[in-house]
Amino acid sequence: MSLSHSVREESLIAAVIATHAVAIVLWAIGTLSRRKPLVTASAWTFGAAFSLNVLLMGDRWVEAGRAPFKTLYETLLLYPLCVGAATLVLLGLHRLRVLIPFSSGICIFGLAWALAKPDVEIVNLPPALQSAWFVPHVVTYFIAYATLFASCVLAVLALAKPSWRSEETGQGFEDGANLAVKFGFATLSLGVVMGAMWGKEAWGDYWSWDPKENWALVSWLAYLIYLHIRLMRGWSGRRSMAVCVVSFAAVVFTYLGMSLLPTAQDSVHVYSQP
Amino acid sequence: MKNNALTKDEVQNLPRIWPSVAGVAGISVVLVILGHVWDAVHGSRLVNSWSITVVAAIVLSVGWHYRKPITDWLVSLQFSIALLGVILLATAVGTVVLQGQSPGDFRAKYGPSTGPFLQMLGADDIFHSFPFRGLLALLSLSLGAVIVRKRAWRPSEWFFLFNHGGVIVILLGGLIGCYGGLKGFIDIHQGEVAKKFVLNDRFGKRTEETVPLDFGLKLDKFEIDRLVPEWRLYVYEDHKGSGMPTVSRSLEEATAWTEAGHAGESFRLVAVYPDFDLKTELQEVPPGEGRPAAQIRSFDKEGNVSVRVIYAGVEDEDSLYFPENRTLLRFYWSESDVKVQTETRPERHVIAHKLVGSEAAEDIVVKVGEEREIGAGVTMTVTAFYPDFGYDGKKKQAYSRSTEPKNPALELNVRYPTGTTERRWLFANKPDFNTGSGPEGEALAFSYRYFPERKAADREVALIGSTKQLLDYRHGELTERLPLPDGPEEKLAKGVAAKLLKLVECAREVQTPISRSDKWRRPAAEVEIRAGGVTEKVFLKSNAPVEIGPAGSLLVFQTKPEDIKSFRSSVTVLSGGNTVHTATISVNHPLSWGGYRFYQSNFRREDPTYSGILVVKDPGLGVAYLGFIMMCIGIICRFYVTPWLARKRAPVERTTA
Repeated sequence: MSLSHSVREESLIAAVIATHAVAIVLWAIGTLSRRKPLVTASAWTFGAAFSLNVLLMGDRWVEAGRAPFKTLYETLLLYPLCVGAATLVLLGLHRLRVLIPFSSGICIFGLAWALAKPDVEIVNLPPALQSAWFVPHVVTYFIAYATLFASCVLAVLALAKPSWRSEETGQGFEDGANLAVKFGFATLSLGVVMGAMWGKEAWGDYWSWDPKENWALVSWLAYLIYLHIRLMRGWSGRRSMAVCVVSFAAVVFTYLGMSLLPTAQDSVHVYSQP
Repeated sequence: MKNNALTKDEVQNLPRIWPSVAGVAGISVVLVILGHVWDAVHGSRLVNSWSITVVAAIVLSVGWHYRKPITDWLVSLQFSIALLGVILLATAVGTVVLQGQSPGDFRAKYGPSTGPFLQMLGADDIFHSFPFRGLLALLSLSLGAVIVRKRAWRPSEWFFLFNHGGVIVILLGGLIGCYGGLKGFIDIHQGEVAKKFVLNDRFGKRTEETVPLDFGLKLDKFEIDRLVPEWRLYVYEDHKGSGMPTVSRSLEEATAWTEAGHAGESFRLVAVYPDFDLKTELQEVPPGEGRPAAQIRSFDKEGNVSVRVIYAGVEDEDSLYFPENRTLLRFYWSESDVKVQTETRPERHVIAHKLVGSEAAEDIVVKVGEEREIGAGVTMTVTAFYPDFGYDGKKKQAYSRSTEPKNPALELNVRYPTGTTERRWLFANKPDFNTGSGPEGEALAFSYRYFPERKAADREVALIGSTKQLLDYRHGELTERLPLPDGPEEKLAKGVAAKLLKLVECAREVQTPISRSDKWRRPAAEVEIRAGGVTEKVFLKSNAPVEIGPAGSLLVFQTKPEDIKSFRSSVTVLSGGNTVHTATISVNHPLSWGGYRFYQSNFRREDPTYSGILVVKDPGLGVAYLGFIMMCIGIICRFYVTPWLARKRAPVERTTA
């Protein structure tokens, strides 16, 4: 990575952060003063931030000459991108504008972290990662992580305001959370299966009880429990929303907590920094 | 949405979950106990087909008697949630407790009370333990029961069948792989044929056992593609302990001052020497700062040439001896200094050593076999002397071609405070400093001068600097007085195989860093380091860290990591001596043959024809993959196709209602 590229990348990250901050401010003013056009403008600003994030990712992809999903830093650029995409879909399909400040918030958090701890150089891709599975496996997973973040936010809102209903769709936060979990769980399942198939091609096993795999299983099981709890009479409301929030903690740990585990030394999944 | 996902069968009348959790926890405890009971009776005479039949009959008949409440519980949501919860917990425990340690290590790690307790629960190898497998079996049983109860083979329930049945199929695939599969390793070199492989245990460690292959696998060629090494300057902040650099700069970028992390600390690359060495040059200096010096090129009959500087008035350094003619050439500045040597002097080895960049070099006289501490914890042992150095590449040994001191070399064993040792040779004919790494990683330079035994010389030729004359003494008597030759191309005198290149009244030797070639053989970087307001020039040898300042940041000159682009084995499958298949195996591209898969697994940097190949046989693979596909289709369709079908049907239902 050239110095000029890292300078450009830094400014691009700062630009995405700033745009997200504008989206939050617009949303807050629009919501507090009940001015709908401002909330709509906030959604468009969010879209602009997402576009800048796409540019940021594309720039790094070109500079690296490979998919930039190798290091923690690179995933901290990818995650906001996926949160952006998931939020835009939920905005488009279900008018869940309430997500804007939260999604922008998490994007700012991830990008600020990236700014604080940037990679000092672009690392070479080891042979095991040079696979056609690399991009679909990682992207599917990060879309799942992003969607499940939205579900967690909506679940917290559902616990706080269980009776709120959207004027446009008539749906409450719980419905939104459930929608997001379903999509997140489906992508999580696809991500696990893709990872298993890649593992078979690269290391000879589709499952090797690697700590990251185990935690992927833990998060998958947690959402599976959520899905079954939803079917239980008397449990589908507050209790299921609480489970939804707790399940996301497992996702966060799967993403970021691996280096805390004593068993992670031999893992092939712990994010490396150059 | 909610109502769509809910059917009457799924809605249970028991919203209390804790009894089920307690039940599944109880079952887990029973499984732990059963595992230990099995371990205790396994292999004893108690276990035979009769006893197994009796126990199975009792279990089955009790189970049959209570089939209704048992299946009711197995298909209940409460049970499934509790079971998934317990499996989740066990999986999480398996990531917190170290897995696959030897029993001794495990106890040492977790202490005399916790260790055995965890072992008793099977937590030291949870995923292969009897209780965990029991839970997975219970999961399959529960899934099977719910499929039967729901009569999920009906077309309307296919998606339910797919995602629930898919999990059973995956577990079945895993079970087949577990009992019918094999995993092992082939260590092979180019040209060799493997007819068997070494079996691995379940943690990937090699066992003593081998498994024959019914074909031969010949490694035709092994290749490693390396990325072009990219030399860079890195800063590591040692106290952070992450092992990750905090600054990385290309050589081009590093020519500008770069902050090194701590306040007031920075560095700048001045020059790079791909094939670093130090060249000794004679530099004229003002009077009083140096000595009279003569640079002389000497040569022998075989055409070996060496360039030496001799200094007037410095013992050991003022003369050259030509053993062939038993002639000593000695340098004096003025004729009044001449003192012809008449006694015999023994052989002497003089080593000068210094840290590159520092001014002072220290001379020491050493003997073969001697061990000397040369400061800063570095110890040097003189292991051998080769008067006429030669190197046997096959034996990887140095030897002497003859007893004549034609190419005198001293073999040293240098031991650093870190414990690393280094063998190196110093050559008297190449008196330029030989570099290596110093105690702190900075370049440590050696030079070597050899003084052969000097018999009372038959002849001494005195080179007089001030008058530019040669005085020829034979047996102590002045026999001839000659002027110096006109140019450096002429021999000094008859019998003195040397030419005078340079004569300076006051000079000093200066070592200048040079690169002997463009090849990156012995890369070094000349760097300016600024810390606490002081700028210092340092030579960085490759991969040897140098402290930047008191805060402990280290500057390292090294190549970018992960230099392996790819590695692959070209193999031939042989059957009865005939080639039946050829393939190239690389990472992510295994070879499938004869029920096995062969994976490119290892290479060895120090052994370039070696290839490590992982061998895997998994008869359950197809089943597991079928399960994966079923499960994914089931999940996606149940979430997105079932509601869509329901919506399509809904208006019809409304009209009929």
